[in-house]
Amino acid sequence: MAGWWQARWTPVWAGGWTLARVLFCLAALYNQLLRYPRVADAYASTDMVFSYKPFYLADHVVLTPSTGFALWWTGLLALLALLWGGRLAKPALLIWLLSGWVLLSAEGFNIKAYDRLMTWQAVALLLGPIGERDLTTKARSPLGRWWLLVTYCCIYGSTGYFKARYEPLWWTGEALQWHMVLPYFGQTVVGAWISDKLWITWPLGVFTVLFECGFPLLVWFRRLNPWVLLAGVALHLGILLTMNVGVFSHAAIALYPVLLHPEIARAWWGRWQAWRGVGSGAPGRPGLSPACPSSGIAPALDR
Amino acid sequence: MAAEIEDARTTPGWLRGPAVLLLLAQLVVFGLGFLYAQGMVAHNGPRWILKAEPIAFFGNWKMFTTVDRKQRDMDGYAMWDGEWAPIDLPALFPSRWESGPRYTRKTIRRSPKHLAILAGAACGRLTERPERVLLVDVRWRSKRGQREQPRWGKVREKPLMDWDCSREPPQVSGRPI
Repeated sequence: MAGWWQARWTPVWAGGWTLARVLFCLAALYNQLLRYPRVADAYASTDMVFSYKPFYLADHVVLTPSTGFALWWTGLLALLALLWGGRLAKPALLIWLLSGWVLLSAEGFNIKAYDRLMTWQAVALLLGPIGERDLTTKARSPLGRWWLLVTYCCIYGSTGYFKARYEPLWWTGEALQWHMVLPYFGQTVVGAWISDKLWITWPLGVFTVLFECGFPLLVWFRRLNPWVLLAGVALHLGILLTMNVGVFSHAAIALYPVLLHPEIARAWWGRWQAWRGVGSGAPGRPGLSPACPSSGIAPALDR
Repeated sequence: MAAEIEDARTTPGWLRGPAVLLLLAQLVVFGLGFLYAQGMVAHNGPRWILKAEPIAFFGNWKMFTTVDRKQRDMDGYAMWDGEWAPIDLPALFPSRWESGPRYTRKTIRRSPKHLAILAGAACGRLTERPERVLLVDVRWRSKRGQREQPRWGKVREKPLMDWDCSREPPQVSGRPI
């Protein structure tokens, strides 16, 4: 039992966190820029202030436009610091999170799925080693990755379950057709074009439900892990192409480098380095250390 | 071929228990959100679950589940000298998200208090203050295979709020900062 418990905490290759931090930051920066025109009219509106569950901030304080813009600029600078990385990364992430949530709570009605997703992701980044440099040569605690796995499994699993359970038209492709012409969310060029082509929407609809329901079961298996994530990338790129859901696709894909099995990611990174002719290109340990059967990395070091 | 590891560290032993508790707490939030999304705690749940709604909000993931075959919009009218004239709501309230303009949110449409705030803001934002503002919910059937979704067939119009601009709309109680 003690060995099993110890093995669960074996450090795992941390290189994926660097790419994830940068991709997350780019998605958040894009979202931050989209927020700017709304500051005076919505986040810090003086004539249209609402108080609504579950956030009742406006019952306590109402943001003036100058405070709203100050919060927006604070968030932008924090994201730039996060992009820069190093020791500033985690404090900057916290500041961005807090300033953003004050704006969102003040507006009250438009807290989007990607705002909540990015909050879950931000916690993972705080648990991960994003404050360090040269992560491609380091192995760190798997805790942040576990947090992310639980997050993605619950989100995909939940939304897939509801589709499978409550809307039979997902299995016929018809649900996707109507979603493609939804007001605002739909009506993209590609989405509208496929919305009357059942031979396209039927396989896409079935794929969506199978992926969302299957993700929580399959992503844990090392062999299947990259294929499941590849299917996820395809799903999110498809959503990006056919629907208007803001930065949801960008944000969802941003943390995939951490979801990828660390040993597979490490091997891919090694191949990439070798192909570029950079670094030692030394072969990895083909045999697995008995102390660390899952990673082949030196035994866990509690420093 | 794998990259070299030069430095390996993990969570210290004393922190592992709290870390597992953190993951369990995460599962509880998603579990609560799941119950809320199913509508299982809306009316008959214990009081502590109802109070947990702000937390459950983060774990509630029900996206694009059921089909909606209708288009929806909100029209605005203002009265000057006893005559109704259409007003340009998107120009008055330009903030929009991928879900649409702020004023089309379901949370506004379904609440007389929120509709009053919206109508009151429209009174104030029009260059010439009108006597009344009328907000109308408009629905019509979608057509597949096309981007443009003009109003066609049976268009259902439902007046949501007829607001007297001389009245003071309800306000939140927060202190401006």
